[in-house]
Amino acid sequence: MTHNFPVPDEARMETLIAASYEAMPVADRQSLMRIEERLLHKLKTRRPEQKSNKIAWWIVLLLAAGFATAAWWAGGQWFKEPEMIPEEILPSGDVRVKEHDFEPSGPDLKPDKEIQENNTYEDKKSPVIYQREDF
Amino acid sequence: MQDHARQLLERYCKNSDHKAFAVFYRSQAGKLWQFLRARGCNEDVAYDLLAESFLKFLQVVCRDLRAPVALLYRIAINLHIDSYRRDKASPVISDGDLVNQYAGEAIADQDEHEYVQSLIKNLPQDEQNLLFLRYWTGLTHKEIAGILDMPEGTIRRQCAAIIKKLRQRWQEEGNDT
Repeated sequence: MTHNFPVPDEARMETLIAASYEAMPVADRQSLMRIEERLLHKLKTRRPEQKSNKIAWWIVLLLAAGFATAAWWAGGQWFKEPEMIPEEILPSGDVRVKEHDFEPSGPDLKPDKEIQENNTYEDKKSPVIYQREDF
Repeated sequence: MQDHARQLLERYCKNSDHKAFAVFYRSQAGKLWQFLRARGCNEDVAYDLLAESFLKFLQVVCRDLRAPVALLYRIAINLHIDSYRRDKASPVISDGDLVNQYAGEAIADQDEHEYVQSLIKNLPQDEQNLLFLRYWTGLTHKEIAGILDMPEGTIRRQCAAIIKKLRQRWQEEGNDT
């Protein structure tokens, strides 16, 4: 096989290669149209794949939200009792008094000096509820 | 061209725009059919593989829209290989009609383009595929590497080597006169 064409450079060769494909046999237009119709018919009966992926993500999101709500509710139940019943209040409504609360702070509540110094107790204001018997 | 294809398929995937997909189909179907014919399929098999390729393409394209044309050709190549294994027939340069139509019958009266066609027809099938994807379909080296599952650098080197080989043959045959 001989020819008289000058040797092309690389760029020209690439152009010639691209141009040579234009001589290839082409597909029948009617056949391509029939395939297109079949594809479009299938498309109408089916949604794109990406949509179903989004649905899956929505389900995951809903499940996560459900678990978060359940965890929050369970946590509330767990910590509810210590928070609702203070240490000072008994279930019957009585006030639990601590030992240090007995220390008198007001002027009326301070113990009398007589009691402290004479070591004898004689409360004239109140009836005697106990008296040592003299033998 | 690749950006345009990506935009069309984005419209299809996000908005269920079937017209956008139809435009994409029309822009690619003819070339894909030619590609399948160049790989040795007869006309009917090429149409069947074309339809099957687009069906498979529709199932997966919305997962990754980075290189849709490359994905389409990869699917077509895989389907052709499957078909070849099923039929146990040779896919390479077995279609005499295509050779006659494509290469041209009268070498003596050939012009420059016909001579290039005859040079390409004498290349191995893999090299013909590479030239087709690069210079007719317009895919980048990276996209072809994705289709053929090879490193981009290898594709780039192979393309350069094929061009060099063609020029060398051109020179040898021209010097015979």
